[in-house]
Order: sequence, then C-alpha cells, then structure tokens
Amino acid sequence: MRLRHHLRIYLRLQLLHLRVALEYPANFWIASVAMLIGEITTIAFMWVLFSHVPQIAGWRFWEALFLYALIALQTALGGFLCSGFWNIPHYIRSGQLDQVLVRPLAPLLQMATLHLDLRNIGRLGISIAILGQAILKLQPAWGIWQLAFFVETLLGSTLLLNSLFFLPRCLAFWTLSDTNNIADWLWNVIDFAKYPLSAYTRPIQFVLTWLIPLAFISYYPAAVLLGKPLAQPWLGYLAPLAGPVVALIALAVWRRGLRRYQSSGH
Amino acid sequence: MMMTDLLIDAVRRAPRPKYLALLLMQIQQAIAYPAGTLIDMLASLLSIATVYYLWRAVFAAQPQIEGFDWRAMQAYILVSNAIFALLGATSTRAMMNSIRMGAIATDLLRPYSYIGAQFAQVLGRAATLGAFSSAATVLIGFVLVGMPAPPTLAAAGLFLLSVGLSFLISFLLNFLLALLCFWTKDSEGLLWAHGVITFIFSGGMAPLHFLPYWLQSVAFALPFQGMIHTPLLIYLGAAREPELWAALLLQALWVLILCVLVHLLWARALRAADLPGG
Repeated sequence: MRLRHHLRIYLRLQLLHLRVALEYPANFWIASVAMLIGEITTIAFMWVLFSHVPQIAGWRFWEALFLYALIALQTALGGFLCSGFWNIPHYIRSGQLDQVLVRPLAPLLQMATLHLDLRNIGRLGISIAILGQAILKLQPAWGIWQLAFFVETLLGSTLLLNSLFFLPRCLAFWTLSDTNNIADWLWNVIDFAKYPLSAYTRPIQFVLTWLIPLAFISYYPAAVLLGKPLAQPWLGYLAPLAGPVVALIALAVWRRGLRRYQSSGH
Repeated sequence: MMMTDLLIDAVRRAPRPKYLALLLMQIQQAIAYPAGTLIDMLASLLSIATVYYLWRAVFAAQPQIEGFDWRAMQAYILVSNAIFALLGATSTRAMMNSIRMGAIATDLLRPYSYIGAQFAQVLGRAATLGAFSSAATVLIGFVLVGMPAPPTLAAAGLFLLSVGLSFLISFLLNFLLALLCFWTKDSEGLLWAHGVITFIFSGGMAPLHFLPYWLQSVAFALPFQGMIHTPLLIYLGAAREPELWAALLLQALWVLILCVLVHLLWARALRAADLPGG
C-alpha cells in the first residue's frame, strides 16, 4: 500500500524530468549518441583483443561480451533510476537538505529523483542489444532455475551498483565536503568489472570481490549462467544477495548520517 | 638612431613576455588544485591497469602478435598512456564554450594572436598536469613493471622529437575541432567523437598493426597515427634507418598540412562568426 504510493510518486517525479529533457531534443540526442560512442570503444577494444586469441583467461568473445553487457546495463540503469544522489554532498554542505527534510515524503526518494540522466538511453539500448545477441549466439541451456537466477541477478545488481555509489556520497555527513571525488573515482573502477576477473592478479580479484564488490554484478553471475569454472562456486550462487546486503548497509549509514545532520545554520 | 628605434620596437613587439605570462598563468591554475589533479591521475592509472592485465592475459595465450612480444607490449601500454597524459591537457572545451557563449569576441580584441595564446595555455597545462601524470606513468613503467627503455640514446632523442611533433599534431587537431563549433554550436558531441576517433586511429587503443587490415589502411591515411604510433615505433626501435626518417618526415608533413588547414578555417570561421552578444 505505502510501497505503491511511493512508486507512483517516484514515477511522476521522474516523468517530470523526462518532459524537461525533451524540451531540448538536440542536446538530448547528441549526448545520448556520445555515450553510445563511449560504449562502442570498449566493444571495439574487446573485438581487437579477441581477434588475436580465441579466449582470454578462459572466456570466449561472446561470453566476455555477455559479462560486459551485464555491467553496462547496470551503469545505464543507474543513470535513470537515481542519478539525483549525485547532489547529496552539495545538499548536505549547503544545508539545502533542510528543504527535503520538511517535505512529507521519504528524503531518500526525494534525493533520488532530483535529477534524471537521460543520456544513458544510448548506453541502455546497446547493452540490451548485446545481452540479447550474446544469449542468441551462446544458446545457453537455461532451465527455470537459471532464468530465475538471471532475473534475481539483474534486480540485485541494480541495488548493488546504486548502493555502492550512494555510500561514498553519504560520507559528506561526516566530512562536510561537497565534492563527489570518491564516487567519481569509483566510476573508473567499473572498467575492471567489464572484463573477466580471472585475467587479474589475486589482490585485484580480492578488492573487486570483498572491498568494491563489482564482480558480483558481472563476473560471478556470468560465470554461473555460462557454466564457467569458479574457484569458489558459492560466491557465484550468492551473487544476487550481494545487492540487498550492501543496500542495507547503505540504508543504515544514511539513517545515521541523517541523525547527525545539523544543517548549516542559516 | 633609426636602427636602434627599430630594434627596441621589435623587442617590444616580441611575443615572448605576454605568451609566457599566459603559460605561467595556466601553471599556477593547475597547481592551485592538487587534490583534483591527484584523483585524475589515480583514475587514469586504474584504466591503464585494466588494459595492462587484459593484454597480459592475451600474451599468455599468444606470446607473439605482429612482431610484439609481452615486453614490447608492456612498454607500448605504459608509454602510449604517458603520451596521452601529455596530450590530454588541452583547453579545447574551454575554447568551445567561449565560441558558443560569444566570449571569444573579447579574446579576439586582445593584443595577441589567438592561436598563439591558445598554444601557450595548452603548453602550460601540459608542462604541469600533463608532465606530472606522464612522469608518474613512465616511473611506474620502469620501476614496477620493468619495461624496456629505447634501444639506443639516438632512438631516445628521436623519440622525444617525435613526441614533440605528436604534441603539435594533437594541438592543431584540437584547435580545428574547436573551430567547428562556429558552425555546429555543439561541443559535447564533437568532443566525444573526436576522443574516440583519436583513441582508435592514433594507436592508443592497440598498436595499429593489431587492427584488421582495412582499418589499418584508414589509420595510415590519417594524421592521428603521428600521435602515438610513430613515437612508439621509434621508442621500441621497430623502425630501421630509412623507415625512421620517413616516419618523422610524415609527422612533420602532417603538422604543416594541419597548420594550413587551421589558417584557412580560422579565416572562414571569423567570417561565419555569429556570436551571441552580451
């Protein structure tokens, strides 16, 4: 009941941004194509890599593209679902968060809908196209369990990626810094998750599994779904749970931060 | 009397002080925000690391690709990124914005050559942001990775000369790109497209010989090859005597061609200029 109410408000706020963005159609399309070009570079790079060897660290071309599409899809969705989080550090430092706190709607929901990064539509399109094409090429023998795992992974990954980028922004409650430096830096770590984890050294594998668990978005679920051998298979099976766990941590940090918040005293 | 007057006048007109001032201003600006610079550098090191490990996995399966072994590839990855760091300190976005917003009108009134001023600024940024990031990458290459140095001292010297020409090509291409803003009024799309084309056709993505043949022939007909491919050819000692001079000459030729293009387009752009007032 309350969930439906919140969902309706969320959708209405996001549609508002959509209408604003479509007021400037030229800008919108140029930026969308630009993001699309960025993804095409990655694909071109993989294509060149695989033109010299049949497989890299045990992965074939389309298997690697399947893995890549999983993370590309999530980065695109992140831009649509809650790119408003980008404003959190600034709102905390300037005291603008006051406005949000006095309104009769969950602060988290309001922050999420402050902004909508529509440019991700090009990225979304190409990642869905590649995911579909990879599934067609690989013809994996999925039963009902694998399908369920696939859907759970997609949902869990959305929670995981957005929570991972949400957490460093919440640090502003303590540091009062209005920059997004850490989150921006984290954005570059995603590059690692675009390729098979087995290509990296142990320390990097450890970081991407336990510290910045981006491998749970692409590598582990792809390995399970495509039947790739894993050193610890249970890590693969637990991939859909990583999202909810990190999201709960993020929520707890946000609540503590809000309790600590003292405004800027204007 | 006449002679000394002329001489003093010539010294006063000499471009050195004002361009040097512009250059120093950029250096000051770059040093003012060390945190941002450091974060940018860490980010670029991350992307170098991804590429490094992927190529390592490729060479583990295939020890020799188009004359490259893993050691040569190590040097290619690190040195090409070091050059990119140097070339990346452009002011193209700022120039595009000043064209779009009309602020360039004021710049044109100032008593300096606009191109000269832009070059001084880009040089200033390259000497700080670029050089810092570039040196860090090379240092990591030698100390942590143990990549090979150029085979001879002469090769090292010619490599530096080639990087200089690479810098000129990059500057001129960026300037041409910014001039397109006079017609398109858009900057983001141009910048992204330019970035991708440069990345692929300069040899930044992979050595040009690794590309499929049809793409190679496109790349060798374009100026971008002079940015990464040529300097690296010299660094790795892959070019023999006549080939080496031909490669350097081609770079210089492209600098000349681009100079002419900039000259022609600059005159047309000023005629096409339809700047918002204010």
